[in-house]
Amino acid sequence: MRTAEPLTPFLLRLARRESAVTSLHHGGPCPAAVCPLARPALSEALLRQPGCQSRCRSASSLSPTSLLRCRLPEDAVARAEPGESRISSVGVLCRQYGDLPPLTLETIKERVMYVLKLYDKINPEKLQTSSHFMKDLGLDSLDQVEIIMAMEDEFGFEIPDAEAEKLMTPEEIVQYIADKKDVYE
Amino acid sequence: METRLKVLSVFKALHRTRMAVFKDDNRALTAARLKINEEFQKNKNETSEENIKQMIKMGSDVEVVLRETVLQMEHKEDNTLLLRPRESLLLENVPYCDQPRKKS
Repeated sequence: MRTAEPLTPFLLRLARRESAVTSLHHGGPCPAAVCPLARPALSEALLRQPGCQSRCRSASSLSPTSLLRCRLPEDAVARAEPGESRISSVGVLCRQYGDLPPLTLETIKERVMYVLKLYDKINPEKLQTSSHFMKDLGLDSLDQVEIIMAMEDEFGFEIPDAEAEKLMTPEEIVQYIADKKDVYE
Repeated sequence: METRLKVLSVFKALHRTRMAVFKDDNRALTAARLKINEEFQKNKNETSEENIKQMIKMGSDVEVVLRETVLQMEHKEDNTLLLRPRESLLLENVPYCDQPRKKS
Protein backbone atom coordinates (compact mmCIF):
# COMPACT_ATOMS: atom_id res chain seq x y z
CA MET A 1 0.00 0.00 0.00
CA ARG A 2 2.93 2.32 0.34
CA THR A 3 3.93 2.26 -3.28
CA ALA A 4 3.48 5.84 -4.21
CA GLU A 5 1.02 6.31 -7.03
CA PRO A 6 2.02 8.82 -9.69
CA LEU A 7 0.83 12.10 -8.36
CA THR A 8 1.08 15.68 -9.26
CA PRO A 9 3.12 17.79 -6.87
CA PHE A 10 -0.09 19.45 -5.83
CA LEU A 11 -1.68 16.25 -4.66
CA LEU A 12 1.48 15.34 -2.82
CA ARG A 13 1.38 18.59 -1.02
CA LEU A 14 -2.16 17.97 0.00
CA ALA A 15 -1.32 14.53 1.20
CA ARG A 16 1.54 15.80 3.29
CA ARG A 17 -0.58 18.49 4.75
CA GLU A 18 -3.34 16.09 5.67
CA SER A 19 -0.99 13.66 7.34
CA ALA A 20 0.64 16.48 9.24
CA VAL A 21 -2.75 17.40 10.53
CA THR A 22 -3.48 13.94 11.83
CA SER A 23 -0.11 13.59 13.47
CA LEU A 24 -1.03 16.62 15.50
CA HIS A 25 -4.30 15.06 16.54
CA HIS A 26 -3.41 11.68 17.84
CA GLY A 27 -6.40 9.56 18.51
CA GLY A 28 -8.49 11.64 16.18
CA PRO A 29 -10.10 10.13 13.12
CA CYS A 30 -7.70 8.92 10.49
CA PRO A 31 -8.22 10.48 7.09
CA ALA A 32 -8.68 7.24 5.30
CA ALA A 33 -8.45 8.52 1.78
CA VAL A 34 -5.07 10.06 2.38
CA CYS A 35 -3.16 7.18 3.90
CA PRO A 36 -1.94 5.56 0.69
CA LEU A 37 -0.48 8.84 -0.41
CA ALA A 38 1.41 9.70 2.73
CA ARG A 39 5.17 9.50 2.79
CA PRO A 40 6.59 6.45 4.54
CA ALA A 41 7.74 8.21 7.68
CA LEU A 42 4.42 9.84 8.22
CA SER A 43 2.30 6.87 7.41
CA GLU A 44 4.37 4.91 9.91
CA ALA A 45 3.08 7.28 12.52
CA LEU A 46 -0.41 6.88 11.23
CA LEU A 47 -0.25 3.13 11.29
CA ARG A 48 0.58 3.15 14.97
CA GLN A 49 -2.79 4.60 15.67
CA PRO A 50 -5.10 1.82 16.75
CA GLY A 51 -7.85 1.11 14.30
CA CYS A 52 -6.20 3.00 11.52
CA GLN A 53 -4.63 0.10 9.73
CA SER A 54 -7.75 -1.57 8.55
CA ARG A 55 -9.13 1.66 7.30
CA CYS A 56 -5.93 2.47 5.49
CA ARG A 57 -5.98 -0.82 3.73
CA SER A 58 -9.46 -0.32 2.48
CA ALA A 59 -8.51 3.13 1.43
CA SER A 60 -5.60 2.00 -0.70
CA SER A 61 -8.00 1.11 -3.44
CA LEU A 62 -9.16 4.66 -3.68
CA SER A 63 -8.05 6.69 -6.63
CA PRO A 64 -6.14 9.93 -6.21
CA THR A 65 -9.16 11.89 -7.27
CA SER A 66 -11.04 10.78 -4.21
CA LEU A 67 -8.54 12.83 -2.31
CA LEU A 68 -9.89 15.90 -3.95
CA ARG A 69 -13.31 15.26 -2.62
CA CYS A 70 -12.41 14.91 1.01
CA ARG A 71 -12.60 18.04 2.98
CA LEU A 72 -9.90 19.35 5.29
CA PRO A 73 -10.96 20.96 8.51
CA GLU A 74 -9.89 24.49 7.83
CA ASP A 75 -8.79 25.50 11.30
CA ALA A 76 -6.76 22.31 11.67
CA VAL A 77 -4.87 23.18 8.53
CA ALA A 78 -4.24 26.64 9.82
CA ARG A 79 -2.82 25.23 12.99
CA ALA A 80 -0.75 22.67 11.20
CA GLU A 81 1.22 25.16 9.17
CA PRO A 82 0.89 28.66 10.40
CA GLY A 83 3.81 30.04 8.46
CA GLU A 84 3.22 28.73 4.98
CA SER A 85 1.01 30.71 2.69
CA ARG A 86 -1.81 28.29 2.16
CA ILE A 87 -3.97 27.95 -0.85
CA SER A 88 -7.46 28.27 0.39
CA SER A 89 -8.07 24.62 1.09
CA VAL A 90 -11.81 24.96 1.20
CA GLY A 91 -11.92 26.71 -2.12
CA VAL A 92 -9.85 24.01 -3.73
CA LEU A 93 -11.47 21.00 -2.20
CA CYS A 94 -15.12 21.81 -2.51
CA ARG A 95 -16.68 23.68 -5.33
CA GLN A 96 -18.19 27.02 -4.61
CA TYR A 97 -20.42 28.74 -7.07
CA GLY A 98 -21.57 32.29 -7.11
CA ASP A 99 -25.12 31.51 -6.24
CA LEU A 100 -28.03 33.05 -4.44
CA PRO A 101 -28.27 32.35 -0.74
CA PRO A 102 -29.86 28.97 -0.12
CA LEU A 103 -33.62 28.90 -0.22
CA THR A 104 -35.56 28.33 2.93
CA LEU A 105 -39.30 28.17 3.39
CA GLU A 106 -39.10 31.62 4.92
CA THR A 107 -37.25 33.23 2.02
CA ILE A 108 -39.48 31.52 -0.54
CA LYS A 109 -42.51 32.87 1.25
CA GLU A 110 -41.03 36.35 1.35
CA ARG A 111 -40.25 36.35 -2.34
CA VAL A 112 -43.65 34.95 -3.29
CA MET A 113 -45.41 37.60 -1.26
CA TYR A 114 -43.18 40.30 -2.70
CA VAL A 115 -44.02 39.27 -6.26
CA LEU A 116 -47.71 39.16 -5.42
CA LYS A 117 -47.63 42.61 -3.89
CA LEU A 118 -46.15 44.00 -7.07
CA TYR A 119 -48.95 42.54 -9.17
CA ASP A 120 -51.23 45.41 -10.01
CA LYS A 121 -54.55 43.67 -9.57
CA ILE A 122 -53.88 42.55 -6.04
CA ASN A 123 -54.59 44.84 -3.17
CA PRO A 124 -51.54 44.41 -0.92
CA GLU A 125 -53.59 45.10 2.19
CA LYS A 126 -55.96 42.26 1.52
CA LEU A 127 -53.21 39.83 0.67
CA GLN A 128 -52.62 36.99 3.10
CA THR A 129 -50.71 33.76 2.77
CA SER A 130 -53.95 31.82 2.88
CA SER A 131 -56.06 34.01 0.63
CA HIS A 132 -57.54 32.32 -2.40
CA PHE A 133 -56.78 34.17 -5.64
CA MET A 134 -60.27 33.83 -7.02
CA LYS A 135 -62.50 33.70 -3.97
CA ASP A 136 -60.72 36.18 -1.72
CA LEU A 137 -58.83 38.42 -4.12
CA GLY A 138 -61.33 38.44 -6.96
CA LEU A 139 -58.91 37.45 -9.70
CA ASP A 140 -59.74 35.27 -12.68
CA SER A 141 -57.89 32.39 -14.26
CA LEU A 142 -56.01 34.69 -16.63
CA ASP A 143 -54.64 36.69 -13.72
CA GLN A 144 -53.68 33.47 -12.05
CA VAL A 145 -51.71 32.45 -15.15
CA GLU A 146 -49.95 35.79 -15.05
CA ILE A 147 -49.09 35.28 -11.40
CA ILE A 148 -47.68 31.85 -12.11
CA MET A 149 -45.59 33.34 -14.90
CA ALA A 150 -44.25 35.94 -12.52
CA MET A 151 -43.32 33.12 -10.13
CA GLU A 152 -41.56 31.27 -12.92
CA ASP A 153 -39.53 34.37 -13.68
CA GLU A 154 -38.77 34.98 -10.04
CA PHE A 155 -37.60 31.47 -9.25
CA GLY A 156 -36.21 30.62 -12.65
CA PHE A 157 -37.96 27.39 -13.49
CA GLU A 158 -41.02 26.42 -15.42
CA ILE A 159 -44.25 25.29 -13.84
CA PRO A 160 -46.26 22.96 -16.07
CA ASP A 161 -49.77 24.15 -16.90
CA ALA A 162 -51.50 21.19 -15.30
CA GLU A 163 -49.85 21.88 -11.97
CA ALA A 164 -49.97 25.64 -12.26
CA GLU A 165 -53.73 25.39 -12.46
CA LYS A 166 -53.96 23.99 -8.96
CA LEU A 167 -51.88 26.68 -7.30
CA MET A 168 -54.54 28.97 -5.95
CA THR A 169 -53.10 30.45 -2.78
CA PRO A 170 -49.70 31.90 -1.90
CA GLU A 171 -49.28 29.04 0.56
CA GLU A 172 -49.69 26.45 -2.17
CA ILE A 173 -47.20 28.25 -4.38
CA VAL A 174 -44.64 28.32 -1.57
CA GLN A 175 -45.21 24.63 -0.90
CA TYR A 176 -44.91 23.75 -4.58
CA ILE A 177 -41.67 25.70 -5.03
CA ALA A 178 -40.22 24.20 -1.87
CA ASP A 179 -41.03 20.71 -3.16
CA LYS A 180 -39.46 21.42 -6.53
CA LYS A 181 -36.34 22.97 -5.05
CA ASP A 182 -35.91 20.32 -2.37
CA VAL A 183 -36.37 22.70 0.51
CA TYR A 184 -37.57 21.26 3.78
CA GLU A 185 -37.91 22.55 7.29
CA MET B 1 -61.86 21.50 -19.45
CA GLU B 2 -59.55 20.60 -22.28
CA THR B 3 -60.34 23.84 -24.12
CA ARG B 4 -59.84 25.83 -20.97
CA LEU B 5 -56.30 24.54 -20.62
CA LYS B 6 -55.65 25.31 -24.26
CA VAL B 7 -56.88 28.87 -23.91
CA LEU B 8 -54.72 29.40 -20.85
CA SER B 9 -51.66 28.00 -22.56
CA VAL B 10 -52.17 30.29 -25.57
CA PHE B 11 -52.50 33.15 -23.13
CA LYS B 12 -49.30 32.15 -21.44
CA ALA B 13 -47.45 31.68 -24.74
CA LEU B 14 -48.55 35.13 -25.87
CA HIS B 15 -47.21 36.70 -22.72
CA ARG B 16 -43.96 34.79 -22.92
CA THR B 17 -43.48 35.92 -26.52
CA ARG B 18 -44.36 39.46 -25.61
CA MET B 19 -41.64 39.42 -22.96
CA ALA B 20 -39.08 38.17 -25.45
CA VAL B 21 -40.07 40.38 -28.36
CA PHE B 22 -40.42 43.67 -26.51
CA LYS B 23 -37.61 43.02 -24.08
CA ASP B 24 -36.33 46.14 -22.27
CA ASP B 25 -39.06 48.25 -23.84
CA ASN B 26 -41.37 49.06 -20.99
CA ARG B 27 -43.87 51.04 -22.98
CA ALA B 28 -44.41 48.32 -25.54
CA LEU B 29 -44.41 45.67 -22.85
CA THR B 30 -47.20 47.32 -20.92
CA ALA B 31 -49.21 48.16 -24.02
CA ALA B 32 -48.97 44.60 -25.32
CA ARG B 33 -49.84 43.18 -21.95
CA LEU B 34 -52.93 45.32 -21.66
CA LYS B 35 -53.97 44.45 -25.20
CA ILE B 36 -53.56 40.72 -24.69
CA ASN B 37 -55.48 40.82 -21.44
CA GLU B 38 -58.17 42.99 -22.96
CA GLU B 39 -58.72 40.63 -25.89
CA PHE B 40 -58.99 37.62 -23.65
CA GLN B 41 -61.17 39.46 -21.18
CA LYS B 42 -63.51 40.61 -23.96
CA ASN B 43 -64.41 37.07 -24.96
CA LYS B 44 -64.43 35.44 -21.61
CA ASN B 45 -68.10 34.61 -21.79
CA GLU B 46 -67.88 32.91 -25.14
CA THR B 47 -69.48 29.49 -24.99
CA SER B 48 -69.59 28.26 -28.55
CA GLU B 49 -67.00 25.57 -29.03
CA GLU B 50 -66.53 26.58 -32.64
CA ASN B 51 -65.81 30.21 -31.88
CA ILE B 52 -63.43 29.34 -29.10
CA LYS B 53 -61.51 27.10 -31.43
CA GLN B 54 -61.21 29.91 -33.94
CA MET B 55 -60.02 32.29 -31.30
CA ILE B 56 -57.41 29.84 -30.06
CA LYS B 57 -56.19 29.59 -33.64
CA MET B 58 -56.15 33.36 -33.91
CA GLY B 59 -54.24 33.68 -30.65
CA SER B 60 -51.57 31.20 -31.58
CA ASP B 61 -51.22 32.77 -35.02
CA VAL B 62 -50.69 36.16 -33.43
CA GLU B 63 -48.06 34.58 -31.25
CA VAL B 64 -46.25 33.19 -34.29
CA VAL B 65 -46.42 36.51 -36.12
CA LEU B 66 -45.04 38.33 -33.12
CA ARG B 67 -42.29 35.83 -32.67
CA GLU B 68 -41.21 35.51 -36.27
CA THR B 69 -41.76 38.89 -37.86
CA VAL B 70 -41.39 41.61 -35.29
CA LEU B 71 -37.90 43.00 -35.23
CA GLN B 72 -36.78 45.18 -32.41
CA MET B 73 -34.60 48.23 -33.02
CA GLU B 74 -33.24 50.72 -30.62
CA HIS B 75 -32.52 54.39 -31.23
CA LYS B 76 -28.90 55.00 -30.43
CA GLU B 77 -28.15 58.40 -31.84
CA ASP B 78 -29.83 60.73 -34.28
CA ASN B 79 -29.35 58.55 -37.29
CA THR B 80 -28.31 55.28 -35.75
CA LEU B 81 -30.49 52.32 -35.01
CA LEU B 82 -29.33 49.27 -33.14
CA LEU B 83 -30.83 46.08 -34.41
CA ARG B 84 -31.73 43.57 -31.73
CA PRO B 85 -32.28 40.27 -33.47
CA ARG B 86 -33.54 37.11 -31.87
CA GLU B 87 -32.96 33.53 -32.81
CA SER B 88 -36.54 33.05 -33.92
CA LEU B 89 -36.09 35.71 -36.59
CA LEU B 90 -33.37 33.87 -38.42
CA LEU B 91 -34.28 32.83 -41.92
CA GLU B 92 -33.11 29.75 -43.66
CA ASN B 93 -30.46 30.84 -46.15
CA VAL B 94 -30.50 27.66 -48.15
CA PRO B 95 -32.10 27.62 -51.62
CA TYR B 96 -33.15 24.02 -51.47
CA CYS B 97 -32.89 21.31 -48.90
CA ASP B 98 -34.40 17.89 -49.14
CA GLN B 99 -34.93 17.27 -45.49
CA PRO B 100 -36.63 19.55 -43.07
CA ARG B 101 -33.85 21.23 -41.15
CA LYS B 102 -35.77 21.98 -38.03
CA LYS B 103 -38.05 19.62 -36.26
CA SER B 104 -41.40 21.22 -36.00
